[in-house]
Amino acid sequence: MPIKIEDLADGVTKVVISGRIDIAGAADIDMPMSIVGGSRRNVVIDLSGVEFMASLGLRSIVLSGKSIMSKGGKVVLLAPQPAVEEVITTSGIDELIPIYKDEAAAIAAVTPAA
Amino acid sequence: MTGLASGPDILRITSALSELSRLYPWFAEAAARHSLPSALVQKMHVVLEESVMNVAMHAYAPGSQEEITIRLHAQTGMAELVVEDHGPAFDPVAAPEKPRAESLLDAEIGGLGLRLVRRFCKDISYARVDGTNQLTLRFAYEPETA
Repeated sequence: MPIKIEDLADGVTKVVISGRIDIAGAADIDMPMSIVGGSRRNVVIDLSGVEFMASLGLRSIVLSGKSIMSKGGKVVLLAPQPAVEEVITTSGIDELIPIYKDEAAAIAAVTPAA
Repeated sequence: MTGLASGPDILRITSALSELSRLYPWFAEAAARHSLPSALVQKMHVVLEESVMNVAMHAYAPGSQEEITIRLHAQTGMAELVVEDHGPAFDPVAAPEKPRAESLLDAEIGGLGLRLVRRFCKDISYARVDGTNQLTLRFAYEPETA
């Protein structure tokens, strides 16, 4: 499975996606991402292990992100590789879901105020 | 090899979604044979997947197994992918692009693929030839020096 969901401290969830998120990969992450969208409010999506992603994978991330934000939650992307980052910035998704290079900063950005 | 019924730079698949998994192995091998640089290969793969998926999902009825033909032409500094299908005439070059969403909650999902295809290609052209949709996607690159 190219996706792993880790619950961290302070209600923060880290979703680690990896491998090739092509048509088949997008089908694999669709359901877990939809579960994350429906059940978590403070989410870091770690993309550092993703080698390839096209619009179907982005779609899955955006849908999940919409669901999180509609509940007043926060979601950020963490450390995409250059080719994947180019797909994200070219499609304009980074203007909707910010990209962080540093994990501690990403976690801090979604952590609810005490 | 252009013009032959089959050859190393031509892939024929059907529009069944399971067939789309054949795209990347074919393209990776052909791109390596033409020594295309890896940054270009990544972009071309995104464009290839978006274009063929668009045909498989919209040109033909869901679940059908109609033919899609993909050709790669490469020469120094220029690479070209041609995607052909015989579905109803559809010109993705003329399709309007949706504006960027102001916020995630307003974001519409459709149109992401088309935006990527347009931004990653140097040039795109569409022709309807003998009942076939022919989409030509061109890319420019700096050849890697040995």
